[in-house]
Amino acid sequence: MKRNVLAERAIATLALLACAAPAVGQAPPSEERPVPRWDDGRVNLGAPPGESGMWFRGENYLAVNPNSYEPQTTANSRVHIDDIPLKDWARALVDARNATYLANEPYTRCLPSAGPRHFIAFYGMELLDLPEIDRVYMFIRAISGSYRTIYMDGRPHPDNPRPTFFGHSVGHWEGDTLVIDTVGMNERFWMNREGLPHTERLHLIERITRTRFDRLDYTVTVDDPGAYDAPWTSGYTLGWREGEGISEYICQENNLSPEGMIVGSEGRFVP
Amino acid sequence: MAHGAGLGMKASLSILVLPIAAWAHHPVAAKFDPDRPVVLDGIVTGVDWANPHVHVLINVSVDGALAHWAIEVESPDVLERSGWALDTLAPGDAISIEGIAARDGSDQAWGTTIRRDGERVLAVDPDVLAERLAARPGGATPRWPDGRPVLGSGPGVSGYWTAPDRPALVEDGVEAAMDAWGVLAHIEDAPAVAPFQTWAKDLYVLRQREYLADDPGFLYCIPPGGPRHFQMPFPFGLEIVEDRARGRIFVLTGGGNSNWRLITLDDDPRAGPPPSDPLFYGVSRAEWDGDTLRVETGGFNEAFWFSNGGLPHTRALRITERISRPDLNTLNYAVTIDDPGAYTRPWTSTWTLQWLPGEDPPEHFCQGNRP
Repeated sequence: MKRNVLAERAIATLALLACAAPAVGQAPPSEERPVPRWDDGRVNLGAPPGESGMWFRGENYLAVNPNSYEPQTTANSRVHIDDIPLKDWARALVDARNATYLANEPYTRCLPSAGPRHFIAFYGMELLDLPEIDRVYMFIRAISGSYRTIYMDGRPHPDNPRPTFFGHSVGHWEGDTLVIDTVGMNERFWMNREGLPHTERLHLIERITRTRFDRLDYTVTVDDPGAYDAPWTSGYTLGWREGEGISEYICQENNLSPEGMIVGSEGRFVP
Repeated sequence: MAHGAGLGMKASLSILVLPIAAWAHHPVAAKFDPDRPVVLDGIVTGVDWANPHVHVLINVSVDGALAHWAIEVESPDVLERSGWALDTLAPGDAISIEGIAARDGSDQAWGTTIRRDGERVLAVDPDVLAERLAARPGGATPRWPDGRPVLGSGPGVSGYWTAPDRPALVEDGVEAAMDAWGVLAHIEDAPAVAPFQTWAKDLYVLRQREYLADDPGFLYCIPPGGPRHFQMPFPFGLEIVEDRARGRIFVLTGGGNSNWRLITLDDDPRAGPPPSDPLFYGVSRAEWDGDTLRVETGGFNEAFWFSNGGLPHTRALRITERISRPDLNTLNYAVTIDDPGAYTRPWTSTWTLQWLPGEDPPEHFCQGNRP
């Protein structure tokens, strides 16, 4: 019901704009809303103050894979898997994962979908740019209800980081593009649903550009000499869902197979 | 080797008098018996570096046969802060372990000290935290340009909150000795801990008698909702992120599941689902009362433990938290529990947390366990 109040406000605002537009000139009703910016001119990757919204997956996936157990779901991708320089073992692992219908998919164990995958997680994500503390946070609704921190203060990566899901991310701006450099990721997540593997040598360079108010371009360069013979690049376009606020999603709530997720926490440890 | 603990006790274990220290970790007390100290000499066959606890696998020679022991030690986060690295132990290393044996008599122990060539390579050192806290610069409450206290990281100030001085909910004014996870030293203290209804007291006592073995936070990685994410011991803790432009505060939990909890400062209905959808972190609205952030939260489900120590709650739970930062290094946290389903009246528990500058809570995913 409070939503209705907002909807009324939104309609009222639109009505005002509609009235104002002809006075300004020939602004057509469909005129594209400009990319939001902070007072200092920098792009705002989130909702302007007083508004809300989140980024959601578009039609793109990381790679076309005809050997996926659901190949049609991979059709809209910038890269074909045959053009990704997978090492033989890595290619065999992708095929094995699909042949077993993703039986060991970490996502279904409520584990984070780190790397490029959490940008297109179901239920969306939010980017929160906090220049006053030199950080960008990423809040992910599903699957882990978790967050990722990107340090913007110019710090280097640690020398020998303990591998974690999200790794250690440092970022900087190149014009209107946020460039994130990440190392220190563990091997416990899949970079896409179809099971593209990586090793602890994974190094990601992600480039994020809000090309329109309601569009986010995500480009990722995957550099992992453990699993690939050369770096390769893919990405996707994300859409903005106006008015959407981030809310709690706890995957473990409906975990009907805790023994499949946690072994060793009760009873006898089986090596 | 099967069920050879009795044999092993005779053959290669000796009884020691050890100070009770870090093994007061709650699931540890449920699985291992502090009254059964063991010393084991063996050869490392593997190190399983995973949450919730790392395992060192060793072969122990018992009367000419090999027994395969699993030595459980602290979590990767704790070990890392005690100077351990992934490669500290390697297969083939001859080590000596001090610890306590499993209650079920299996070939498992909780390790507190590990020596190689007589040199200690692992000891979870309680002084690590004390030294770091003592080395902090002091200072006044940091403030934003508009005068509001900075509750978390601010311009030029980064760190996180840890080391709560109260491990579990206890009504203010009640004295009840307990370990770091809220296990009472004296079970007779249980009825005084809070104004329980009878069923709630009985359930609390049952959970205590079982050393909190059924804690869904540990067994099923269920999140530490309610006040519980303010109770996570070092190196866990929490980070407070203030989105001042949009009137929101995110509490990032470092312990449990690396979740975020959203608190909204205005009455923005877009910020979350209606309270009719019961949640782990509930729906939180806040306002400033002078320098104190007052947070009202309702809409909780019953699928989690809302405190260390196993105090029950119901869907009727509402909490009021009062959060303030009287100086740079101290966070005052007071929570009033109003749950007519489990308690006879509202009651309050108060504690402080300590600022650990220069770092963030460790990334921790309980579910990052063995697959």
